[in-house]
Amino acid sequence: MEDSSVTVLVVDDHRLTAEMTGMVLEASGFQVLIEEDGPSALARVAGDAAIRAVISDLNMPGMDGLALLAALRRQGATLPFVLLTGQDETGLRPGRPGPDALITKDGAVEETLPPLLRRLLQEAPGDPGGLPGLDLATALRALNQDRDILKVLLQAFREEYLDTPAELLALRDAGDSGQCLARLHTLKGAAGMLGATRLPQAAADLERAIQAGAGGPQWEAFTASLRELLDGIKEI
Amino acid sequence: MAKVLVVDDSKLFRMLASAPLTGAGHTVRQVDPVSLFEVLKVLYEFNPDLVVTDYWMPNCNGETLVRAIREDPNFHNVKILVCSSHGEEALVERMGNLLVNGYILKGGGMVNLLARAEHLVGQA
Repeated sequence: MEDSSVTVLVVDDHRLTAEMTGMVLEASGFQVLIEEDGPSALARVAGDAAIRAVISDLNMPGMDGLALLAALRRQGATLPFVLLTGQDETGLRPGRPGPDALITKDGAVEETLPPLLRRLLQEAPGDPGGLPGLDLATALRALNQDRDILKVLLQAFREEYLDTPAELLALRDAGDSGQCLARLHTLKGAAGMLGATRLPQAAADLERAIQAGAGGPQWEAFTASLRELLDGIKEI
Repeated sequence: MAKVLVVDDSKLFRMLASAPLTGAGHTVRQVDPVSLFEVLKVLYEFNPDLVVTDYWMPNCNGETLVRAIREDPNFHNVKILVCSSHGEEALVERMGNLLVNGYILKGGGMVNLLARAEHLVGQA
């Protein structure tokens, strides 16, 4: 894995701390984005399919690191999540999703974080074969490990939905929200059946936004998720 | 191994539903529900153990199809698994009242479909 092609998001309400963490990661070749609160981080992950992992501070005002993790998992994001904290505090809230790894903020971050992140990215579910946005391992399990059949299904999915963003926008602009929602709903089902990790949730979010007469960020998140999957399929 | 009929107006979904079933060794036939007559014709020809069907289909909706199967004594033993993108409680309950054997969401993925289908035909 070339770290220079991997974008990660650092979340910390202390900008300086976030930048220092970012410098450690950039020195190891990662592309680093920074957000200073949980809600902004949630929106960033939903809208930027290039983000492959989140490194978050635990103690932040409003939405803390564990609340951010829970919200990410609820919206279907399966990307690795590393929690940075002053001490081992993850056991304080039993029953909530735990981070993939916990690192204490001491002098060892520089040595521990980059290799840990590399390992988590290699082990991340949904991307065992380098196809972001798809739980490839589960799809292969359903297909008796038949990669040739999976390729046929993936290509069929791509052909079916390659022009969908433009089609949906045309329907929206024509005021035909009914057809737009129907098309989106069908895509959501097919993507879920295929094992897409982010796209079904992005489609569901857009459905709700269209029904509410809104949807700027949801259009962007949906288009990014669909493009992520279709671009990945194109490369296989 | 079982004989499974997959009914969906989407060719892509027919492929997605058929692939895991075929991979597990079942005999699968697909039908594009252009009309209820067309689906019933294939049912008589193929005589499946299990029908996997969508609910919302423009020319032959799932409810109409399920009623037709359940009212025909020739298909008394045929299991029915509805696989839909719609999971509204009232819809699931209504389909349950029509004696479908299972109702799953397409979002559950191919693994879930295969597991439920094999459970219904006694292969799990």
